[in-house]
Amino acid sequence: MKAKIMFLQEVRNSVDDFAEREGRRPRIMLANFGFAENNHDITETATVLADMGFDVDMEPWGRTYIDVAQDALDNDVHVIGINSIKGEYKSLVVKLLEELASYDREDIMLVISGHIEAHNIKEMYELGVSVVLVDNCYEKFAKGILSGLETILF
Amino acid sequence: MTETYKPEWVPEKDDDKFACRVMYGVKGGHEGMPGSNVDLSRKSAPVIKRSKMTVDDYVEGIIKGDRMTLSRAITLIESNAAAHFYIAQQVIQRLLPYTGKSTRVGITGVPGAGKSTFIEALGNQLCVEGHRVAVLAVDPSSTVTKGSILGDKTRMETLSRQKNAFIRPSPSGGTLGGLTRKSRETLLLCEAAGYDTILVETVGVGQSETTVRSMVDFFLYVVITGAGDELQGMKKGVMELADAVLINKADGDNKRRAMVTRAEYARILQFLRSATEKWETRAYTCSSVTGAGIPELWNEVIMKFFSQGKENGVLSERRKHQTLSWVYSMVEEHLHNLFYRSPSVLACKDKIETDVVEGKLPPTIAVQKLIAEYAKTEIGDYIKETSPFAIK
Ligand SMILES: Nc1nc2c(ncn2[C@@H]2O[C@H](COP(=O)(O)OP(=O)(O)OP(=O)(O)O)[C@@H](O)[C@H]2O)c(=O)[nH]1
Ligand SMILES: [Mg+2]
Repeated sequence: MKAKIMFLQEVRNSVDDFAEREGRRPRIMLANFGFAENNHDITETATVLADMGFDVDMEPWGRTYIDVAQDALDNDVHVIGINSIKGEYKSLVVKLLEELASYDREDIMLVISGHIEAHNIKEMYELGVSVVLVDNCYEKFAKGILSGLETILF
Repeated sequence: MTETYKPEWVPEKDDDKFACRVMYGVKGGHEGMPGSNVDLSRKSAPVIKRSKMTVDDYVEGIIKGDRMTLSRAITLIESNAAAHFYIAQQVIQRLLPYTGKSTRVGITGVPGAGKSTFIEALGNQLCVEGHRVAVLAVDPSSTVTKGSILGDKTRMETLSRQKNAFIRPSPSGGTLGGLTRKSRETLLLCEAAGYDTILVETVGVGQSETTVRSMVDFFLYVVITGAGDELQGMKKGVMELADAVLINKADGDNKRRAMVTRAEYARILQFLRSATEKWETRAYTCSSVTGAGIPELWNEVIMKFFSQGKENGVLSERRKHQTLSWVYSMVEEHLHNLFYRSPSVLACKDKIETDVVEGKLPPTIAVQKLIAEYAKTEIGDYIKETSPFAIK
């Protein structure tokens, strides 16, 4: 437990350092493409990330990839987290990345914060996903996001 | 045959051209999932740098009504970084001539009163009538150490899909201050981008309702039934800022109670001073779920307020005052930054705080010490970094 708290503090420090340079906290939007039943606990994800110092935008349920891209642009988030989806990720990831590219906003990072089968992870990276939440390890997840943003923004 | 379905994330209008059908996945949890051995640092995605924008880019984009430019400009305004501040201020200066023409309405109320749901209903109605609606949701909940969770958009499902609506939730950004200036300037940007109606949502806690009151023409206080005795003291302050009190959730079994609550509010309002000269603040009921009462509120109350206020000059007076309060809020922001970022103050702050907490130093003496330290501050580079107002 103690180790976990120390970890959290370390991530918080990195987030604060990021916020100092970027002028705002890292901002992530958690998108829901599926519905509540077959999904990862979005409240938990949001709370943990906010605890670490992220600003977290919540999306309504059952959005289309067009809605999500538009909301990400309107809220001007750094990162989109695919939190829930009915079915497989692959075609959605492709569509969403294409949609962002059509606005010239490939600088918006795509991550997967919902449940994904281990054997699909490699493919996600190949498609252009930057970070995947694995085994609920939020520290790694957050660090992955921060190091990705580091190259995109600074 | 394998069962397939169309994923929800495919837009309806995409139906024909989108051939993707998806097979149902294997049901079950994720026990025994190997994964910790996956290398997270690997990135096959090419790194695309965020594009840089100049003052001209921002100004031209916003005047054209380009949504993405507007959204990035708002980020700039909200930024606590000094470098962003300079650009943001130039953008604002150049856009000022394009501002001031919108209907500015603030909406406050306790958490869960139904503010977002109300905005969803009202906003859709306005979009249908051909208005361009911007919704700003100010969240005062974020603290120094934590980020915030911005959930208002989850209640604005239809509105957020409207082409003529722009919804922007904003974290207040911790203690660095400037909430007043930032929200106000965000509103101005939306006006310059062509939005004719601006709805500002804020939770009625802390300072945020005063902040919002100082930037809108009409201020709506959304309440729910069951207020009873609490009506006294606590809510009086907010009621004195309001141009209308709206009892929401007047539907189903709750309708009768809403009528009773309305009467209670109406009685109390008689004894309060009106927020706006020559305008009587009254209580109304509505249901944001069924939409009942909302067109009447907008057309018969809020629009009347605007036509009357324009005629008798009350509105233009209010806006003049608000511009002045914008000026002083910036002065306050400047002084705030000056003190809290002063190197001399920072150097001794921890020690003084510890002494106060441990009872070694009386608070009043601590203040004297801090101010004395502050007075020693060399007015040098740190000002440029912390308070751009000092420049020029
Ligand atoms: N029955 C009924 N429920 C409503 C009405 N308006 C809102 N609600 C419900 O009340 C709950 C809170 O609504 P929100 O719109 O999120 O309230 P809010 O005031 O924006 O809340 P915060 O943003 O958290 O301060 C939701 O479950 C809504 O569905 C209404 O008119 N009738
Ligand atoms: Mg809300």
